[in-house]
Amino acid sequence: MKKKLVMVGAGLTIGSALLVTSAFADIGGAGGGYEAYKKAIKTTAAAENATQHYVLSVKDNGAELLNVNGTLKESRMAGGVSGSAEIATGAASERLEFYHQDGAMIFKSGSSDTYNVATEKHEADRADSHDWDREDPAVGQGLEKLVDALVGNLKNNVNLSKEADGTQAIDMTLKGSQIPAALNVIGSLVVKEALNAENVHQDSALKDTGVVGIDLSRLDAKLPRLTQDVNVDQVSLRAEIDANHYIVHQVVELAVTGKDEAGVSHRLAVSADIDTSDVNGTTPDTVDLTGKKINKIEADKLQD
Amino acid sequence: MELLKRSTVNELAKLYARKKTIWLLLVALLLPFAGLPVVRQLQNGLGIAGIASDQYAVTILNAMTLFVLPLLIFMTASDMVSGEIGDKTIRSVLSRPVSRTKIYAAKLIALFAHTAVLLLLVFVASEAAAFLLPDARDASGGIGEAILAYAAAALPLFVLCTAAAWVSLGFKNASGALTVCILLYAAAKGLALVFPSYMVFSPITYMNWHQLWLGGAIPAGRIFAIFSLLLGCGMVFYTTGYYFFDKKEA
Amino acid sequence: MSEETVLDIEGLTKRYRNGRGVNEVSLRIARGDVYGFFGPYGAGKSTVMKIAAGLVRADRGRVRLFGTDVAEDYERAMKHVGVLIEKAEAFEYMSAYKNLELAARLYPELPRTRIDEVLELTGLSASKREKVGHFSLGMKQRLGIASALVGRPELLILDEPTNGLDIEATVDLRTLIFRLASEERITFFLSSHLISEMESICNRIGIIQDGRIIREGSWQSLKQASGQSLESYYMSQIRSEKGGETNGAAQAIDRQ
Repeated sequence: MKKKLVMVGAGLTIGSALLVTSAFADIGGAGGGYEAYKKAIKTTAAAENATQHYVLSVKDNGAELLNVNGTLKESRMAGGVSGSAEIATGAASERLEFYHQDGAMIFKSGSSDTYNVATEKHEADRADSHDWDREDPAVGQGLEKLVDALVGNLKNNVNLSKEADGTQAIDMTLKGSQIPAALNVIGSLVVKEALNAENVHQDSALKDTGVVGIDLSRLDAKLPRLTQDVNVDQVSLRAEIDANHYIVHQVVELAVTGKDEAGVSHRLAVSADIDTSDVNGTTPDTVDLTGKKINKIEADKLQD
Repeated sequence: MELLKRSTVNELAKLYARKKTIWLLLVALLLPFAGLPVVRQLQNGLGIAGIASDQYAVTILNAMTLFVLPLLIFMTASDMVSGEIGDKTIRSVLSRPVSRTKIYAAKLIALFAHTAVLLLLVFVASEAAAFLLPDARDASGGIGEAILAYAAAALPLFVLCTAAAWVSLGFKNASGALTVCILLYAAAKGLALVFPSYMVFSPITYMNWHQLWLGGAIPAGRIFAIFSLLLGCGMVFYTTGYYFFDKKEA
Repeated sequence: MSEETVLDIEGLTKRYRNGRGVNEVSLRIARGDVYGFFGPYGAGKSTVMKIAAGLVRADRGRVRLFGTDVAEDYERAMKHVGVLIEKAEAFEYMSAYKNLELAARLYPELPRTRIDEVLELTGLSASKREKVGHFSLGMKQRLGIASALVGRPELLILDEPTNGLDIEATVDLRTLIFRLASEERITFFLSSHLISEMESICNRIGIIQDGRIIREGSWQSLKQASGQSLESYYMSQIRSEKGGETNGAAQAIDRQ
């Protein structure tokens, strides 16, 4: 009898000790990284204004096909946006400036001194449709629950490290079978369609001076046309969050493999590196159009 | 030890003497092939890998640990415990010169062994299926990782065995125990969606923790925490289950 | 003959939630005894036997088998004990042989031929490959006895072993018990609610009613004391234990 009690007691003691250990080993932190990131996204999205420096890059088998390097200043209150982008495809490059001010969108190519101005006719409508998710918290919450459910156990893959000064870093890398099958299938399809569509469009839409009035045809990125075994191989995300829960730096990387029609294997690496600064201290730049060369374009064209 | 071994052999002999068990093993063997047409369609028709052949086995495991394998475990545990209590055959097991400590251990070991057999069958079947995919030439690349994933997946399933046996002790018929096991499992899965922050302490949350072992960079701290939680839960279920089993009047 | 005590029950008390149970039951069975445990349905025979076989735990009291307390070292206590409680329950989806194999496996020193031996003893050899699910009640009961015998027990605890047996099988069983007791010196602790079925092979008898042993002694002493057949003696004891109106009711049943 005593032996049995000792056995049961020992089993319970060791078992509970292990449970306590797991709690101390920060098992509650499983998903902590995800929660921290979610909170940071909400906080950052709610910021009144901010400046973002971003670098987008697409590499094929290690060779850079496309690089976009730019700045974006955005202010919700002023309704203003300004920014610039340096788009480079191999040897060719193009600089682009854009502004959103006084209900008009203005684009300017670095290689010309003409400002292309698109005046918006339905300013009121646009503002409405823009803010639907902020106006209705129920929709936002429902959406959040849905995203939580879809993310599911992927939360376990989000690592969180906290610094003493209140900053946090999260990172997540999903490789191969860690990527949920549905996500992989949809992602692969989207990538495949996008690559093929881009190649089709390149001869028509973008060539005829483009919708923004800028000729981007020189910027043929020569993205490979993948037709077989397209697969999302790796998805990774790194983010740095400051003490005020703003995302100050974020890197998203995506690796896609596949074969083109000739059967040649490609590994496309897509990355986006975004720095956020001057939160609530940013005023978008404006441009004084008086005396500048102006080309008016119809706004309807833009919306399509 | 000799008696424990012999009791375990007995439990397995009873289990595999049932036609039902053999049919369910067959189902576990055939299910991995059911995903083939879908993946084939993705690869041939749409030109995407969808599920690349070197990842097919792990993808099947992801799907099977969600519901099929738990269900098979519940069925076995409820027959092995509630079924025998209900039809009183448990008496013919208990009234032999073998202590209840060993009998309960033998039942759990047999459950673990059966779970391992199921995993092995699913592994073999899904690797075989992977070689039937259009991109089969890559299939062998994933075997090492798949073995790791299948081995890791055994732990939460073993914990589920101890939990299922624990629940089954309270029932006098297998179907009642099975129903309650399924309901509790579904409820735990459902609660995880509603209260994600509380469910980090539920072992059911980690049914597919094998994914943490993949992809090279193993998050050791996280794995240690989950391992402790799973082992701790298993031990508490096992010891309290044994305590109830020892008190059971037959 | 030195009287080695094989089964020693002391002050056994067990109360079930429904109020039934046994109260301060003590009895002693020596090697070679065939102890008949008689009493009406629900008197507590099965309870005592279940506690003796370790299937149920007593609230108070102690059971020693071959000198070892069942609650303390079950394996050692049960080493030489075979048990059949109430209805024999076998795994219906397995054959008789496979069922016995399960039992035999738990006695490491047993030769494999033992299974065929007990099948032969209980007259089941012809149907040993049949699934038990197809067995008649009598065949199942014989399989239960075979299963109790398989470990070469020195003490057999048989609760209502004639349950479901027809006259012929009952006689066969009696003959078998008599033979095992006289030839192999196996000790028996057997119960029945029908004293006439078993009294002839018992050398000691205990009568239990409402959870208490009301009479105990050798077959001879009880018979001499009563000066009548044991069955009549049993009936008179049972009745005298019950008071007024139940007494009348019992007599009324007796007269029919």
